Amino acid sequence: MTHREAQALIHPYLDNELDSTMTVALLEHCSTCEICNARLKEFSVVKSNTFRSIPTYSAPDKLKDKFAAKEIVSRKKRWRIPVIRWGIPLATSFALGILAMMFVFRSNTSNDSLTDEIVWDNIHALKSNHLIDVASSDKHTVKPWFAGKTDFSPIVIDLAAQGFPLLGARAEYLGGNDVAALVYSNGKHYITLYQWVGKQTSENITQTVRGYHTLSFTSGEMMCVAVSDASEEELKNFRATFQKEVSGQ
Amino acid sequence: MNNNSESTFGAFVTPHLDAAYNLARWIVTDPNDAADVVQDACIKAMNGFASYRGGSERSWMLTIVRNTAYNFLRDSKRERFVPLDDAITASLPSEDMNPEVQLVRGINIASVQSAIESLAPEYREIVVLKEIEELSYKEIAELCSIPIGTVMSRLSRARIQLRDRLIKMEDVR
Repeated sequence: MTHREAQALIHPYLDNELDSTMTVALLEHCSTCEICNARLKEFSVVKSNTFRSIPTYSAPDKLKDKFAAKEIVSRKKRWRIPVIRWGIPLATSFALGILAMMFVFRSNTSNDSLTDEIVWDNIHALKSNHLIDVASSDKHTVKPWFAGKTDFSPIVIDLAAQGFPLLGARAEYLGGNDVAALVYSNGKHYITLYQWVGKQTSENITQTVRGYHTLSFTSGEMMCVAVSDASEEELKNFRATFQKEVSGQ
Repeated sequence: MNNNSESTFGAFVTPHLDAAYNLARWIVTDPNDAADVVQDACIKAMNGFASYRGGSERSWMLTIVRNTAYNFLRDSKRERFVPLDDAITASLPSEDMNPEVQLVRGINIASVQSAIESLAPEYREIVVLKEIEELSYKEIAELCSIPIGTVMSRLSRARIQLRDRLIKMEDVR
């Protein structure tokens, strides 16, 4: 056993992750190797002291009371929390507050709250300049990125040749669903394509929410909503292009 | 969401609030931010409660807390959050050829706390999940969506940095 091999086993040994054969091999090596034995002692001290002395923090009573009393915060409040905490300048949060109020009024009358939530998410992403978490036009980069982030694997295709280059993607959690958001560019506009598995909001419907156009459709088992400030025609064109590519694959 | 599922959620989440807060506190470090992260994570968990499909409740909850905490770090930009390059971290730590043992003596809670706080969030969380939650490498790998090899290399790097920092603190004293 080399030093390198032995030292790679020291931490799994200290954490009880080694089987007996490897444990014996490591300890045999350390009994004859001064260098590795020194490391073993050293990290054993670090491990045991960390284990003994690492502070553990308990949730504040306020937080416990809130959930013990089942006084669950309404989802409207959810949008205000980050605004306050993120310290966006006062003017911005004031404007957002008004937007949030308008959103509340609107969602009271809308029968399609998921579409509203998607549009709001899109606005939120644009405002916070946080459109993509993985920047790539390569489906072999973007698709695997979603593993472990969403409970499905989204349809990822680059449409650069058709005028809609894929810029990247992010994962969201909307209306109780894991949602994959793929971001395409279309000239100076962005088109965000949200995909999830579950209930469709409405089939093949175009809507205009807060000046953004949305177009819902189904692709295989994926429920899709495309959102953009580009025109409705461009969105329909995008859907047709997307569907054509999917069926051609 | 009806009243029944809310009460079920309250009973579900309460036993894990301390662990949730502890993890959030170690990732974002500020107590108020940690409380916000946990509250936000609970709301996300509640909205997704219907889709909870069994498995370890605590791991499910901690996964949501972890993701919420990282979103917070990234969006708040308080801590310049650079995801570690796993291609580099997956490689084994360099050999340490010094046979001298520099045993760390007189460790107290405050020095361990400040040594762990000085680690990158990705190292901090692995140390917390290992030493407080006492999770196995496999459980940590699943919770953080990283390979087991990365868990091992991050943990060994974390301990090398902890050793160096604790020794440095002793020298200063």
